[in-house]
Amino acid sequence: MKIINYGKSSSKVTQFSIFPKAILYRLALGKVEKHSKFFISEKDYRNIRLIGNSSLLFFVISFVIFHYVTLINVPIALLISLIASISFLFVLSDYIRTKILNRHQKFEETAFLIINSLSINMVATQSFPHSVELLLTKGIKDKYYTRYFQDMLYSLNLGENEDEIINNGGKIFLNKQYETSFQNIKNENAFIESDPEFILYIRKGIKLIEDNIVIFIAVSCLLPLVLSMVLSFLLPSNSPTIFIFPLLYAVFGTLILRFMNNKNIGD
Amino acid sequence: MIRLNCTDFNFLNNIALKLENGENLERSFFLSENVPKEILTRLQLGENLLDIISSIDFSYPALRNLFSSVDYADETEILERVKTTSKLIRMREEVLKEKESSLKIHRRRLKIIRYVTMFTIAMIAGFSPIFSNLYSFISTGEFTSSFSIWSILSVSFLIINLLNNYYLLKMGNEEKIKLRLVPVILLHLAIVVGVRFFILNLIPI
Repeated sequence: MKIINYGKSSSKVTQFSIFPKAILYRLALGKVEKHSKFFISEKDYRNIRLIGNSSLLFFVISFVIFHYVTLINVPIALLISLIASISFLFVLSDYIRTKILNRHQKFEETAFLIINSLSINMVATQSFPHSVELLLTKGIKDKYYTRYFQDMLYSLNLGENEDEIINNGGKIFLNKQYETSFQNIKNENAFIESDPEFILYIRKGIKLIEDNIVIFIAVSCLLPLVLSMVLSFLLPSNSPTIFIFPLLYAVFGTLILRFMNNKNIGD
Repeated sequence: MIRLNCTDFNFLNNIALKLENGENLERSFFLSENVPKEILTRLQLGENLLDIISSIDFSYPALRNLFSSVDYADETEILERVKTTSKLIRMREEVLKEKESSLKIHRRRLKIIRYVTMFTIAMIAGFSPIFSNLYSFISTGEFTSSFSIWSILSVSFLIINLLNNYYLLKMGNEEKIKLRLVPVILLHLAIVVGVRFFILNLIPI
């Protein structure tokens, strides 16, 4: 059985990117690029390229605004628009990043549920094709898995070797633990006893936030207050330069989110 | 289709207990407390167990097959299979429940932080006309008399508040994030207007 990429791939996508693609993807996706490579669709790459290209446009626009409208000198205007465009790139690509991570998460969770359902069906029916059939009638909502198991059922009905299919079919879960328990599906007591990985992932995330909760409160409450005071002393109230502040805040917040995700992924 | 009064897991456990005590499947259905009356009546009327089973709406459809295969297998094997199935269902439900409950506590905690910071930032934004006058106060020695509703500072605070809410919602793995950002905008509007009236009453312009 062939395993195609999880994300749907569209055939006609523009490959054009102003920045070197490798660096852009690295900057936008970071650790996720390696960790969830399978779940990054062509569309995600295209969106990242789009964000990369438009961040340059954003740079030009903000430079024009800051230099010609607010009449600040060139170096400061350049600096501000640089910060603006980097935060634009950073924040928007983080949106795609978390979408990919969620997709991965959901995939793992469904894998656990599918293997569990299959084992239950296996105990009840004592026949592998029948349990796959039952699984397909009630159980999977994920289109990717549904298609895969439909294919599997089809080849089972065609009379292909069942043991071979069971041996190779577990590769779809992309996880050694699930793969072995799929291979042992005929053995009644082979189901994974330990906590599945997606629960560990959630626990880890919760623990991280618990540990760093003071930092979040400080960043989200004190930082705006202090910076606003400082800025109001420094700048006239009608200067658009004040907008630099939400941009900085966006970068801060995204950095924190990203840091947490990275900690979550890594061991 | 008849629905059971209890979860599939409890039902299975009950049946397994009765089977272990040496009852046959039919008797254990009969003795199990959480079987709907309709099934009991049909059992009393002597209807075939297989027909009854096929009319029960299980949340795990495999259970129907499990009970239907009873004719072809001996009692000990059935017991073993019922036990294994109930163990598997328990594991699944435990994992899902754990996920839900830990996420719930986590979300509640983040919700408190979110509300507190939301109000604080909205208040700062509401009073930002005063902040934004500080500059002119320092440079000219007096407050300007223009307390406009939407200063750039308050708009930037609105953006910050939206971002803050967004991040906290994201950390809590919440859904419908965009919809939950609307109250933030409304709160800002309300506070800004409120502060405007407050200042107008305080300082005659």
